[in-house]
Amino acid sequence: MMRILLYTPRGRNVVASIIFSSVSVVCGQILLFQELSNYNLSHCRKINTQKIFFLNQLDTAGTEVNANKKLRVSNFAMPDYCRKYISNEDLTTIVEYANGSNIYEAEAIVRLLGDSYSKTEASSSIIQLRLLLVLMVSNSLSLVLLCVNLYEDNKELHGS
Amino acid sequence: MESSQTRLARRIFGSVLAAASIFGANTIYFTIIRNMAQSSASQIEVKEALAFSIEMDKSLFYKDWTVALQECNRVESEKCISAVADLIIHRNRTEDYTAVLINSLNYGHSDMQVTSLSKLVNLIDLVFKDDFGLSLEAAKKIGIQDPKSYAYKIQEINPNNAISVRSSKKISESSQNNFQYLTDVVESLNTDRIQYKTLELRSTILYIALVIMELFIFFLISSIDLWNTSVTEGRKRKK
Repeated sequence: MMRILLYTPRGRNVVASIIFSSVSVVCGQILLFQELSNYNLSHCRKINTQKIFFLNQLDTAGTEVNANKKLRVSNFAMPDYCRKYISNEDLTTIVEYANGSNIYEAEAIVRLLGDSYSKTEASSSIIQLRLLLVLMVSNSLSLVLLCVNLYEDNKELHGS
Repeated sequence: MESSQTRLARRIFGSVLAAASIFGANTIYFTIIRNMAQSSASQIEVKEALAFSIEMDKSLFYKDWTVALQECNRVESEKCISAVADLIIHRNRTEDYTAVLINSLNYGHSDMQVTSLSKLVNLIDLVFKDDFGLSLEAAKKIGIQDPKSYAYKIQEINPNNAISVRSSKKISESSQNNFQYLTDVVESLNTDRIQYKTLELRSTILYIALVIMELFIFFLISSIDLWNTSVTEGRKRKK
């Protein structure tokens, strides 16, 4: 069976078309998975935005409030499921700051988190763009190969 | 009599249909779990916002009203003006929290937390009307737009107007109760996070199942295609 498939032009086209289609399927699945992950990432970003908003409000309220205010800085760290978007280096720094008790440490945490989320989002969108391109190319190639076979079929049906 | 090839083809066809049915059912379940995860995520976001807002209230506007409002028993006290302005902000924010509980966290109008918040708003309104002699509605009608202007206005209307200890005590108690209720609402954040994490994990497992099913269907269909091609090409060669 494999010999016939690999040594006849029609067989080769079908095999190549299936390979390209499978690449498209895999790319599509990875893209969907990335999209699921992006939803989670945007949820983590929203939570961080709220923290930034809160700290900005405290800043606007003046230094008098801030100087007297003891914050539970650990509240500004991320939920467990957001850890995967943060580099190990940033994570170590965040854990160190989370033991603190003043507004500057809280500000440092939200800034680090914001940067980490942005970096992850940027790299994820680059990967998505590349995958989309691969998906488009493999899909087109698969269709072209299918078209060649259809052309051959047509010739056989109507007689060349 | 059916040949072994036809039987195999029929089995593959049957497997494709079975896999497609499982895939369809899995897709529906996956969509339901995703929706649940999304609504859980929104609840977490609202509660996170609420937690920080309460924290901010505690540090900026919240006072022991029993002490703070007694400043209004002195004529033209700047501290009274500041306390009244903060009390108006506190009232408005309490009203906002009621809206958040009802609209975003799906609390009912008759729920204890909501009724308690509404009671505080009504109590403050009553105190403004009865003790200070100018309701907030009436103040709006005469063009007073911000809390400070209102505070100056009530001192202007009646400088000897005093707030009773009973009223300020009631406000203080109600305010403390509300903070406790809101803190309790926010305390459930950890449970919500665990629930969201579980839903995310479940949706990932379902997603992997979907991927496997799709690949399985793809593999079966491709095998039929390859098989058909090899048979057709083999026949052509023999001719």
